[in-house]
Amino acid sequence: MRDTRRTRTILGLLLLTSLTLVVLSLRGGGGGARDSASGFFGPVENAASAVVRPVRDFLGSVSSLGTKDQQIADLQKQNDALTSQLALAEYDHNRAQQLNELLRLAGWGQYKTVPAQVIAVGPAQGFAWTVTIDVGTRDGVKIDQNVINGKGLVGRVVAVSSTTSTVALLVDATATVGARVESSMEKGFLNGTGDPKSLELQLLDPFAPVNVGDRLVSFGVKGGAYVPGIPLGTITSVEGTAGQLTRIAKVAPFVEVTSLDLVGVIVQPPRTDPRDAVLPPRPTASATPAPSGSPSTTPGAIPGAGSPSPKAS
Amino acid sequence: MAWLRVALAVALVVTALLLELTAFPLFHLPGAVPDVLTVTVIALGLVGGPVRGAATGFLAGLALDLVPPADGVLGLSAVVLVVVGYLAGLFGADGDRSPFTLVGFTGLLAGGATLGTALVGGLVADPRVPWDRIPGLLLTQVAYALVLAAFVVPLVGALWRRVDPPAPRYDVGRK
Repeated sequence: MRDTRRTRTILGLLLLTSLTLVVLSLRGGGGGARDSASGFFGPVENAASAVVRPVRDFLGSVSSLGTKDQQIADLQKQNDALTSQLALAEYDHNRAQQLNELLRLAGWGQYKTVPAQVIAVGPAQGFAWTVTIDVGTRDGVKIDQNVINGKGLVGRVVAVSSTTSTVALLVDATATVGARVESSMEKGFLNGTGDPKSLELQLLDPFAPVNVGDRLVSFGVKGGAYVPGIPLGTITSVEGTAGQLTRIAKVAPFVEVTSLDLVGVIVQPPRTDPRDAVLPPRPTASATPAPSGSPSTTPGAIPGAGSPSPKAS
Repeated sequence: MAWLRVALAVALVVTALLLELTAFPLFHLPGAVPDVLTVTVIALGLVGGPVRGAATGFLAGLALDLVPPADGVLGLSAVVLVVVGYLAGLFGADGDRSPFTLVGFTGLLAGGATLGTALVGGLVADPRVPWDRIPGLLLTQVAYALVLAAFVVPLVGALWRRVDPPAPRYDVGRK
């Protein structure tokens, strides 16, 4: 009974269907099915995320259980309430800070952004580094738009429904961004490796001088997928010697992909390339102009503004 | 009561999927994300038999491939979870096993699912398979799956018996 011919036929049929899907998908089909699935499941994920977050915050703040004494119980209750308030205040503070950083980066780069919340994360054992965010076509989001947070580039929108979008992160193995070294202006391609802590920079000029600690910004081309001037990461090691055919540098991304929360979608790129003005201040003093005052700094703080650089469409 | 079993399986799979995509990533655990979807498929296979296991695996895999933030090759998870559900069904149909055996089997099979995804991904030349990170992912996947299985397998078993109380549990020819 347990392994009859009928059982095997059904297994075979299901396997065949799955493999057909794989083949169809490899030939470029299946987009429509995924669109309708995200149209339906996007709002569901949105709701689930809204339910899950307060529960997580609450669980994180609940301390030990009460004891016999009434007074101890009362105090415990009060303490719990205060602790959970404190935890929520910290959470609010964190979000406010993230939003502030996002606004500051968007202000420096003159990007027009739509703020969004990460509501679902693709499991690591599925190998794709993708997240769902809670904005979609009705917020003006389109495929290929860039996603940033206060630290730098997060990724690129690869699918949109009316209320949600899917973002392929910078560290995903299929992601490639044109990058420019801050100090030497050398260009290269920054590739995701699937490792959340490390990217690979492939330099166009094999003799280009690159050093550990150099920082990278995105290099946008007309009609390209990436907006120019978004901070990407810091070079941590350089493999191979100058002149070698393929010189690879390891790069640590500015954005921590494992703890993404609040992000912004660039719905309108800047008119001029902000170059590396949007990089965070160097750890050592007086390297980049540290702007003071309100987050939305004046364009005067951007040294590269107005230069005849290629624009992204 | 066939529709009741189908409804239970669908409800469990959808709940597991939502938990895996929206709740578990919030814990920022190292390595894999606790794979409650695969564990649920295995648990349903253990109580339902090979045919229902394979069907549940197919549906769960298809959902994982379609629901955002899915990207890349469609059907990859479906292929793997069909086989996983089928194997779980074969194992569960084999008489009475101790709860410890079932939990241990679930953990190992969940690791097998990750390995299977990597192998099928390699076969279709998916550029995303991170071969150097596979050992770490496998280890954490099995560890988290063992913990999850200790709760999910008894829970699914109890729910299933409530919906489907009669004695013959593995009759594939009855529905």
